[in-house]
Amino acid sequence: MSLLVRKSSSVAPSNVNQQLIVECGPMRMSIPGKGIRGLLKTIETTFQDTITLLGETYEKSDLANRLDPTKTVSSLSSQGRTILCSNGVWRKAYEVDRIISLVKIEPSDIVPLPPHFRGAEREWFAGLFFFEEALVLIINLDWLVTPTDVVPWRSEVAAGHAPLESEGGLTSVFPV
Amino acid sequence: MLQSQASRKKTVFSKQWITVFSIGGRRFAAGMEEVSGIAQWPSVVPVPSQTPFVNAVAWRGKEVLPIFDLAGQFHLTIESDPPLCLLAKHEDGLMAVRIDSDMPILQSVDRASIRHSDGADPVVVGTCTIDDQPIDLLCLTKLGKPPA
Repeated sequence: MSLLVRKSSSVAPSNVNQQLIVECGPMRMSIPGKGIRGLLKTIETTFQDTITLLGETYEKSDLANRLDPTKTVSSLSSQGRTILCSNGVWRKAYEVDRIISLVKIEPSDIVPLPPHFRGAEREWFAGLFFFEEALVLIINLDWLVTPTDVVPWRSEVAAGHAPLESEGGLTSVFPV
Repeated sequence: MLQSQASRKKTVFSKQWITVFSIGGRRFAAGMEEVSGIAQWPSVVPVPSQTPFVNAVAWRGKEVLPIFDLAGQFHLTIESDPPLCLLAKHEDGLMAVRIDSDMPILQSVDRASIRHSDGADPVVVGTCTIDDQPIDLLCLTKLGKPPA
């Protein structure tokens, strides 16, 4: 199992938003970089339901399937990657078809989801931005990692529960 | 003389301009004032969504346009290629609707020929007769609103 992400204690300027752009079926989505704890080759984790890294366990899910139960990522693709995510309270690992890029986005470049979308997708996505002349959907990190039977709510931290780990964030993603 | 003028005025105001377009070969009509324009079909990205018939966005320059799948709502398939994009003035903001490649036409119809429905469906608000054929009259500002 290879760890492909370098963590750093240095904090990026607060007005810059790091986003890891991934491909899931026909969609390009991005996961906030501050929530990413590691990247693994999916083919190395094919027969595991959970992944333990540095003493922390991540339950594995399929990102395409989480958004649309009729779709799945191709687990046996050599480009498939599993992303370990956490919001400091919850942890989860997601399979994606491939990694596209790690980019820095200014908040002013983020477009909100149009108000015509009125369903659960308003909770799933934090907005959109342009990348390589196409739109990328930004996934809401809290929704991504919170167990489906838990209502996303950050009161755990307010109530005195220490976060499981500090939010180191990504500084770089090595080519795989 | 006065009677004649009054009658002519009545005739003028009894007309309504509508846009007639087709989806999967079926014709629909909508008030001209509800159509912002017709454009080439733009680049599109799918958006996982639980909002019925709203599951993609398109863009023109830096403007993001949600797409309403009117063909899906009426169980129609658009086979003409390339399709056109009807820009609908939805009450929540501009929306793109995929329509057949046949260029929509503007037509005036006699208001009296429009049969308004009972109002239960906010989208299909009535029918009008064009070329002796009844055509559904849509309210594009209410696309996606469920029937009462």
